[in-house]
Amino acid sequence: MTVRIWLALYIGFLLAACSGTSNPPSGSGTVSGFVISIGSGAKLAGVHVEVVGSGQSTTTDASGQFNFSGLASGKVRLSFHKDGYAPGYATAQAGAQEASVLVALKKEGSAQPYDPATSRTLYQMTEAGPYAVIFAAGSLDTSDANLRVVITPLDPTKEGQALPGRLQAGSSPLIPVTFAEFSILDSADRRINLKPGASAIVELPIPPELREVYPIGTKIHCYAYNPQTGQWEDFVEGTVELSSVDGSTPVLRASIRHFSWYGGAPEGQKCRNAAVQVVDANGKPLEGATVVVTPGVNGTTNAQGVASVWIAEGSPNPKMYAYKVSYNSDGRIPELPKTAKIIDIGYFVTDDIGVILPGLVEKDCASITPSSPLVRPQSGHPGSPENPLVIRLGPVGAAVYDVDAFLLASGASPSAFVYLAQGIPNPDGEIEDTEPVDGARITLGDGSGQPVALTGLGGGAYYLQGGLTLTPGKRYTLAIDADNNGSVEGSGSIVAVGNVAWEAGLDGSTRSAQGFVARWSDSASGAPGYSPVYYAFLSNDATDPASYDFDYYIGPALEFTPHSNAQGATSDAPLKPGSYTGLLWAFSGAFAPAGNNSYTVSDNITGPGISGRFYSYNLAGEVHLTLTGP
Amino acid sequence: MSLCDRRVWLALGLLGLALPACSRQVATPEHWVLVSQPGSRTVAVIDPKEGRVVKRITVGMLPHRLMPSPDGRAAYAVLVGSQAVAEIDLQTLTLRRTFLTAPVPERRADGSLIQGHRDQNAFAHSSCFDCHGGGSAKPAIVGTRPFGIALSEDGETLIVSQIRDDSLALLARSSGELERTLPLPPSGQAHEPVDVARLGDSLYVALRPTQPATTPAVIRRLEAKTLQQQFEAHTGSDPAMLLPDPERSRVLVSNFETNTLTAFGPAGKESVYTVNPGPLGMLLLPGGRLLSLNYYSNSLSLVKLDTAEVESLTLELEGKKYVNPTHAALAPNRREVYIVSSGTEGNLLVFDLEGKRVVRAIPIDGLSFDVLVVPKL
Repeated sequence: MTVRIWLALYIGFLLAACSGTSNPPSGSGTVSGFVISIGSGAKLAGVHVEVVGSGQSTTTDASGQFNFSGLASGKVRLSFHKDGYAPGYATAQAGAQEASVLVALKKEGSAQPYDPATSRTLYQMTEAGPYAVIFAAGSLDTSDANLRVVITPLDPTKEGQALPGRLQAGSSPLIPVTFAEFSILDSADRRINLKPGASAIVELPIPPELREVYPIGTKIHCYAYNPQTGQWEDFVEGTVELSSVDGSTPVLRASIRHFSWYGGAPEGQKCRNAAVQVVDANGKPLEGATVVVTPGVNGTTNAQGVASVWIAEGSPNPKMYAYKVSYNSDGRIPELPKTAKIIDIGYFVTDDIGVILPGLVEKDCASITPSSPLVRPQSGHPGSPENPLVIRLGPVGAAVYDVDAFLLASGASPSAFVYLAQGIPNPDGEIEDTEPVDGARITLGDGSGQPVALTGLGGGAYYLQGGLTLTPGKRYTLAIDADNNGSVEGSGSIVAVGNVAWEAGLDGSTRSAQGFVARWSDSASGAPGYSPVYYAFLSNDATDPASYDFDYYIGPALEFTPHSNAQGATSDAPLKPGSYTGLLWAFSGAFAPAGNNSYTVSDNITGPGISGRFYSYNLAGEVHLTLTGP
Repeated sequence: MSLCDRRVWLALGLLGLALPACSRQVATPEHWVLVSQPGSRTVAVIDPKEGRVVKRITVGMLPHRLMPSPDGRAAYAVLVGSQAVAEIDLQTLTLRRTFLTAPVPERRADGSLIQGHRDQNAFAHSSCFDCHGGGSAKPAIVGTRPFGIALSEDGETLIVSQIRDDSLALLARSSGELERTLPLPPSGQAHEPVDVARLGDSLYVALRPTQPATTPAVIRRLEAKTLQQQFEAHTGSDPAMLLPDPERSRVLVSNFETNTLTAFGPAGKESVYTVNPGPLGMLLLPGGRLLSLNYYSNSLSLVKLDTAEVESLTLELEGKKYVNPTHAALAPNRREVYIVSSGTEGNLLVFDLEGKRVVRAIPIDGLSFDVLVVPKL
């Protein structure tokens, strides 16, 4: 069956689902919203949504939508559960106006068996390193011996939208560093917690992009999310140490008392104020849109479509997007009835924030209050009331976009290519079949000027035809406006791989196999937020299987000591004597080292209706050398 | 009874109800409540009559423990992130001065020169907040992490425990000068002096291991005048607060990582009280009782110290739950307690000891910490 048929069927289903609604419900006491998967960007059907403490519940429909009405005025705490996903939470303010929320769920980690009578370290390995929980024997509040422990890691540099609640302490925004959700489930699927007075220790990897900012020994404030109050609580101080699981990954180590979402987030110290205008695809200002800033203090747009937001300094990669839930009254999704509710979303491209920030007025984050007026920077500066930052919203349709993008900044022909496709996700949020998308507006920028639009080649492919110099070690941001309506559906930011080269003098040299260390260099080493993965491969020229030998390395280091993989070789034996060829690749962005001589590729373009991988790579010149025996 | 009679009786009845209420109000001395607000570098001044924060005094990075001066005319706030103690003038409700708890270093731990300190003549400043946090120097939070504070027997010296320096700093209260730094030798893994308290002629110091930890902390007793070590005893791995109990000649320790409070007398451990999980602050109450603020279980425990009976109470008002209580202070009327609820949304809770319930919540900053009742001068 083709994707188009699926599309037609899906839209038909949506129409049927919405046909029963003749009039939009009254706004009073109404909270509605959409639930998406942070992994695929797909709207999620069948999510159980509950108003915490009230017993009211509902389930998201085929378009990922839910709706509660008749709620008492005040703060409403919502919980979201779906098999295969970590629990999600949100808060909304019920009142005279309808409130809306956008919730992203993260696919949960794999369940691991645990007998609570034993002391154990359980961990979930990711591209950033192991996320671990260390239990003392008898510390859990249960007599059930057959528990399952589920650790769901979350990298806030890529998946911050899936963090529950508002990361804010008083008036100070918190800067997310590393988070995970910990679920301990008994045989009857009940959530288990620690015994009174007991604690456990958790270790959460510092994302590679943030390791320079938070070196070993740094103290980071940690919090647990309390679904009952809708707040981040249980403030304790954690320390950045080396992982007790692999001995090499820098992790935030802290004690935990309540298993829920947990993580480290220091308070922002300095915040900059910006005016942000949210407009629709035609440029018309939108009132009541939510502008989300991470890290920062969110804003809501006024009648002129302008919101005042505060952006906290200290994050290498601040993010800002806006959304609004409304009715399809203008028929902007023609396939849906005018009474259907839809969500419009748009992103502000991140590198631009970094360029604009220094010109905005700075205040102590702690001095901000909800009623703090917009602080006027120099008139006309981007972010001033006269010249607000603009986010253009576009509707999220039924299909989701999938992006594969790479950038080659080194060598004779620097280039950037993107492949864009779309598909209809199944009820679990998985896309089973895709078709290419042409006509998109895809831009690439380095934060120093206007981003450059890529040229379409047809078949969903786009490439950089010029207008932008690609430099090794520099940060680039890719912005995807998949339907070319002026609204950015998603963006990703990476540091381009540097010029990588084998150690000078290695090519053509003769070395002793015993003690030989293969080394290389990378011109981008030390660039802020740069965390490459290298793949080095050495093999001899033997054609006889008995004489053939090789070794390889995959990881973040700039050297490795090869050992023999020849038939019958002992584990620490050197390579066999002979003539060898060395190949070396480097990757960054979506690629990351995963320990044990392996790597992972993960989505680094995420959001409602879109997911994708943006990476950079480079290949070093081949080397030939001779290794001699003892 | 005529309508007129009924009016007279009603009036007399209302008067009768009103008089005791008025007499109680008159009996309550005028006071402010100070709360340290680490998230905003301030000490909040709260007027409990008005039920609001009337002033925020910027003092420096991470103000935590608060202590009054012996004459009641000043309050001290320990600046964990600025290597200093702030002195607040209670008459003007302003920052009077700051005292460094350790000299500004010329070099880093690796021996390299801190050029910024030399260029800015940082050695002339009395708080790291002058440049870090408040100024352009980074990082904002620096220094020896002073935390606990006590007063010498003669009231002339501030004794401050420094977590990162494994030491006690002794500061002359009159001049603000650092008189002496007393290094505290580690005991096993325990080396961070998280709190200090004086009881008569003894100083008690709680030394904890680097957190998180499972190895024990120690409570060390020093002779207050000579600072000679007298004894030490193990306690839980994460002691949070030391509370002198002069009536029983002992010091209580809240074992934050458990659900226990431990009492140490001159010769060592005397008794253990089981409260709710996560005890942090403690407050002695009239009638031989103690209030334990149980941070992790969002609750209070009322402990009868002589019988070890414990009653646990939740923090709730009009259906809203309040979380993460940290410290408490007794109101001058001795019937109410001010409690800091320190979630990401902060509140100062007024707790009625007779009714055993929260009667009022006053919004303050999130992540607030200590509380002190001071007279209106």
